[in-house]
Amino acid sequence: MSAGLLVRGLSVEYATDAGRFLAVDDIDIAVPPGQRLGLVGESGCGKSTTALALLRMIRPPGRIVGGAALLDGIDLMGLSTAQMRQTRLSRVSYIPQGAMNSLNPVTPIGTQIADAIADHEKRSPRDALSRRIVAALQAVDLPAGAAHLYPHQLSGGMKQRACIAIATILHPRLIIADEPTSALDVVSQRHVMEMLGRQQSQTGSSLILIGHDMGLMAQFVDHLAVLYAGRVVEAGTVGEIFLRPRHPYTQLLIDSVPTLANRGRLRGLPGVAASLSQVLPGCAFAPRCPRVSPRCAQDRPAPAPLAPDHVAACHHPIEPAHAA
Amino acid sequence: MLLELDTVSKRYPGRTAQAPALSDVNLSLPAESPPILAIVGESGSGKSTLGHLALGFFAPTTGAVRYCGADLRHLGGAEWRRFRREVQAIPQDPFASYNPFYLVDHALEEPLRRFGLARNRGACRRMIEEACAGVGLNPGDTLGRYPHQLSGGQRQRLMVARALLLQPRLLIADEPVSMVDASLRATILGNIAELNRRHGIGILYITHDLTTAYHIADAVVVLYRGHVVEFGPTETVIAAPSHPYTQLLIDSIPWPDLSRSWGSLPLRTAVVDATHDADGCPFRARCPVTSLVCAQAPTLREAAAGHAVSCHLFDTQPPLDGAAQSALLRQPHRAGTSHKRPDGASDTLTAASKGTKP
Amino acid sequence: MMRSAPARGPGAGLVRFARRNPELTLGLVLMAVLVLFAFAGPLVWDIDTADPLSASPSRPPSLAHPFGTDSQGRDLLAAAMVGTWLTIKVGLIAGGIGVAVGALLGFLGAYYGGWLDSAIVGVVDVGLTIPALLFLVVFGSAFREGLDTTTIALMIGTLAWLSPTRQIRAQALVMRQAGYVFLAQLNGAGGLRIVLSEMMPNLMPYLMASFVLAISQAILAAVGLDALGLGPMDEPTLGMTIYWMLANSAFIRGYWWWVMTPIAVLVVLFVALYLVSIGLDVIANPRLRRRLGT
Repeated sequence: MSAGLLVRGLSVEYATDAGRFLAVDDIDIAVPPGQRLGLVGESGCGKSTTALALLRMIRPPGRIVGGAALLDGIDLMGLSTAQMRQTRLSRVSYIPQGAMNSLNPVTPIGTQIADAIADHEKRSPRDALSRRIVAALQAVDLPAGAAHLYPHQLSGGMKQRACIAIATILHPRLIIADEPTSALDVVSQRHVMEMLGRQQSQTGSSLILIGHDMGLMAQFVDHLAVLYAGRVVEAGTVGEIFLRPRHPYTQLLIDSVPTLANRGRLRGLPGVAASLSQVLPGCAFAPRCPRVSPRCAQDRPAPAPLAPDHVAACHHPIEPAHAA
Repeated sequence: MLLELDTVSKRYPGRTAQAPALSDVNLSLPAESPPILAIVGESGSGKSTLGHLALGFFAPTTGAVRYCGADLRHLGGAEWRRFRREVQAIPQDPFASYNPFYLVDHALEEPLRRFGLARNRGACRRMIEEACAGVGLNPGDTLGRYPHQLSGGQRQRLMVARALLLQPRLLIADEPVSMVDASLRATILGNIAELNRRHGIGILYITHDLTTAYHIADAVVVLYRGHVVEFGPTETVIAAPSHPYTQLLIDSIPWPDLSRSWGSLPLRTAVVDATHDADGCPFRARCPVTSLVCAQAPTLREAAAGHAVSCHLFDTQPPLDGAAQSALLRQPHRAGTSHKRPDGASDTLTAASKGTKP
Repeated sequence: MMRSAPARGPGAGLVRFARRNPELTLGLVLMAVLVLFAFAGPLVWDIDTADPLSASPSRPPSLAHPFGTDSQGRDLLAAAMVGTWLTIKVGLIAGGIGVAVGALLGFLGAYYGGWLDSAIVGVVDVGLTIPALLFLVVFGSAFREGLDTTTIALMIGTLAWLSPTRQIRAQALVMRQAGYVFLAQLNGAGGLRIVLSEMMPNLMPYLMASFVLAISQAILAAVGLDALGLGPMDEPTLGMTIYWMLANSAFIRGYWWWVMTPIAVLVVLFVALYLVSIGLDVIANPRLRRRLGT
């Protein structure tokens, strides 16, 4: 299948005073068209770096050192700078964290959408353009009048929805949303995610949602990939991963999230997130793992398929409590 | 009374066209075994303004903020120093709270020095190390470093250690875990809850996240656009939310559980126009059950034991005045205590309206 | 997994610094050369010859007088040595006043706000509309008698603080909202303490860059005043050398060494200051930093 996103062996290296290290280490992910993938992990695990790598926006001292990212059969890593610039927004769009702060404070929303279009398409007649802008705003539940408003006149949730409008106006094949709702309350979050999902379904694009909120992932994505220290430690459908988590880190992640059901039974993750500059020969999670054995520190586990559409990189995966 | 907000309203100067940040808020925390009180609201609800008022950073437009009975505006020099020492905060942003020019130790040494809490450098060092250990941090791994060398979770736990170090009587925690990974929130919330349970520090926990409020707070106050729309014991408010906004909040929480679905209540888009419509219920533009009577502002009424709501759906209940509101809120609620909904509210209301102080 | 261990030792550290920030390094080297010229020069050369009637007048460069002499018998190499220091001194005094006063007013205005800030901003805005050179010329003409380099420096200093105040205030306004300022307030620290110990250290690179800029502008103003004939008649500052050179028609007479001496030194001085200010800019703004390796 050549449609959708297929990433193989992507690696990103950073060079600092302390040496070189891999922020993203040989990851494979796949997102068919119309499907949603969640990239989840703690801060510093490499999920944002992966997104930036797909957009070819890694700046020195970082550098993509390997891998391919095929979008509808075309390798994003092989495109020229000019081709990549054309690709951004029109075929791959990005909604950054705190996107509401990326809006130009001195330009009305409608003009910013028009600018985004103008960078990629030839000039169209003004009324056709404004009809298109109004349609884009209404598609994210913003009123037509919002086109004349400045960002500071909108609430946080509205600004974020305006960013979604900009990110989807050219019907990209891949939408990458990096913690788009981190600053919002749950009601605005739900609204924003509903709009994002609606836009994605209408255009049939692939979507990658980056975050650390397992609750949001459970409610929104179809597939999940859990990252730790730049590597994929578990990946599969969201149903498989939540019902039968195989990697100890995934289990700890799920258990550590406060919900309205586990009051008084909070369990945090032990230890501190791995420092990427200290590379261990074996499994990166070994220092914190409750199921660690001597083999784990020496032998790096490779992702292995444990069930249809479910891979985990662990020497001692958790056995499912009941038959699948 | 440790902290008291008496019919407090706050309107920011120069923004008279917009709605006031807070309108007629009454709440109080008792001095004897103060609880953890959660203030829940979205951005624009006035919760941060409430926090700043409690910290004495500015004065309310109307009403009074009192600490141990004394109005904050009338505190003399020595009294103000005492207030500053006994009322502290845990800030929201774990990175911005540290001065990048200094080691993280600076954030802990400075208050010890300024408030004269340590006899000498050795005592100062010991106290700091104890506080670090008290929140589960290894002093050797965290002290003596620059802020950018620590993770967000470590920095925020160090802020909690700072609170432990100063042993205040009241702590204002304004979104202490919202900028921390979800997986670390449990640990930090545990540290904060322990400050209350073990050290008797009263906590005003300000957040937009009802889930975390549920985990550590004894009572919850829900704010919407500067108005108190609901308050009561945590269990009751979460298990039986009475105000449509609270119901909407709970309904919108994404569960990490595939058997639960997200958001069955309809969302109505709020109007873009932010000009203030002074009359009427502040929530009526987004309320799924609004009706004509909502053009008039509702008042807080007692819906159940210790549980008050500001909604016309409860107009059959008698209204609560300021003193009654504070008294209701102060009724002892501890995590784990179950509250049943009584069928009739009259006897509890009589007790509250007498304004008896605990 | 590759690992490149950085070289150890102070020499390697300096080399790394030089590679990271070539502008600052070159600028500092040039400044060091000039300072050496001004201070170590008199040890090997007789600077009394900077006074008039010390040598045969209007001589082109020779072994005895490597920079030649002017029409009043000054040895131009000695004059350059003395003049370099005098010119730098003016820059330091006036620039120092400018940034010190500017920082104080800028920080206090930004921190306290209210009427204090309004007053400061008002004075600065009005002051910036005054054409500086005109003001200095008028001021300078009124005090023809006791005008030495220090007086000129102080005079320039009275206007030098206006622009730094505004710029530093802008930076301080942003800093005012920082989380660590909030925390310091919670610690019970007063305004002045917060400004001095929490805010100012973080602005050090910016203040240094402002200082260098203020030095440049002050030197330019001083040279301008001197060249117009408003400078000290008995001190061979670089600007006065230009004045004498113009007054005695050095161009027409073909005394190129007299023209070149002050100009060459000034060019080196301004290039050095410019490079240092760019280098400091790079430190102040991490985004401009050159990346290692790759």
